[in-house]
Amino acid sequence: MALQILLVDDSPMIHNLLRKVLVKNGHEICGDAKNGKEGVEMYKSLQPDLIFMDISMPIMSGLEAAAAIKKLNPDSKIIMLSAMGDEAVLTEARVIGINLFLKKPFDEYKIISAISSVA
Amino acid sequence: MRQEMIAPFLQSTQNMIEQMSGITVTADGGFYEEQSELVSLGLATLVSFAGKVKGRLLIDMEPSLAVAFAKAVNDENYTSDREFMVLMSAGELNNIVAGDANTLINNQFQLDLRLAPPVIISGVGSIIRIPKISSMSANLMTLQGKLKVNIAFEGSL
Repeated sequence: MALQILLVDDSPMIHNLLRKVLVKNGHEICGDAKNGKEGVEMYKSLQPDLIFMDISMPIMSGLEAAAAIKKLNPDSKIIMLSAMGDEAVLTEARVIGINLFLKKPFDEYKIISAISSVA
Repeated sequence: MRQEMIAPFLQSTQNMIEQMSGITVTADGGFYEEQSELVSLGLATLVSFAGKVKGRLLIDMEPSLAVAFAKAVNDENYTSDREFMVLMSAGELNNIVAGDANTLINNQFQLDLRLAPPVIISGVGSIIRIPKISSMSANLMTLQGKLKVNIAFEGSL
């Protein structure tokens, strides 16, 4: 099933890679946000089926943004993508209710498997 | 500087470049202490991190390697190391390496290290001097060019 997906990451390289993998697999990128604040605003207006969210971003972090989105809609689907994946970060992500946590780098198989497990 | 604090950065640099781009990286000797300023090979990226201690990771590479890495990762053609996506790809590489290495270090030593955004410096021969902090370097080789990993932690870790 084709999903409307919102990308929230401050890295143009990550946007580029995710866009290629997701479009190739039949999904649609409905929004590109460069920080957590933009991500929350875009979530409100676009109501995507799924969000890919980085953690370390300027203005508002991915964990703060994810918490805000989960408050707006506890059923929202968020896959966290981050370079950091230590126990403290994973615990914080679990408390917020992140649906899945992926450590960078990623490949097509990892991304598509992640979508299948949460969508 | 404790070996178990710096070794993850060298290992992660090799692993992440190979995983992301398929470029094989081999170590050219082990770590040594930098005695003077660094003279850039061409494209240097710097990621600082802080928690219970502070530190920073510098990855410096020849322009040919920066272009080859960006081409392989993004599956796009670039001709100069000053192109936007080449610069951004080098910055993201450092972010991913620093994140991977600090994940290991945090899990082992509970230092709560968190990353700052990368700084990207372009220019062969650029002088990089970071006073008041000693650092260790290791040289690496690829078929596409040389790179250097330089790591520093504040204090006597």
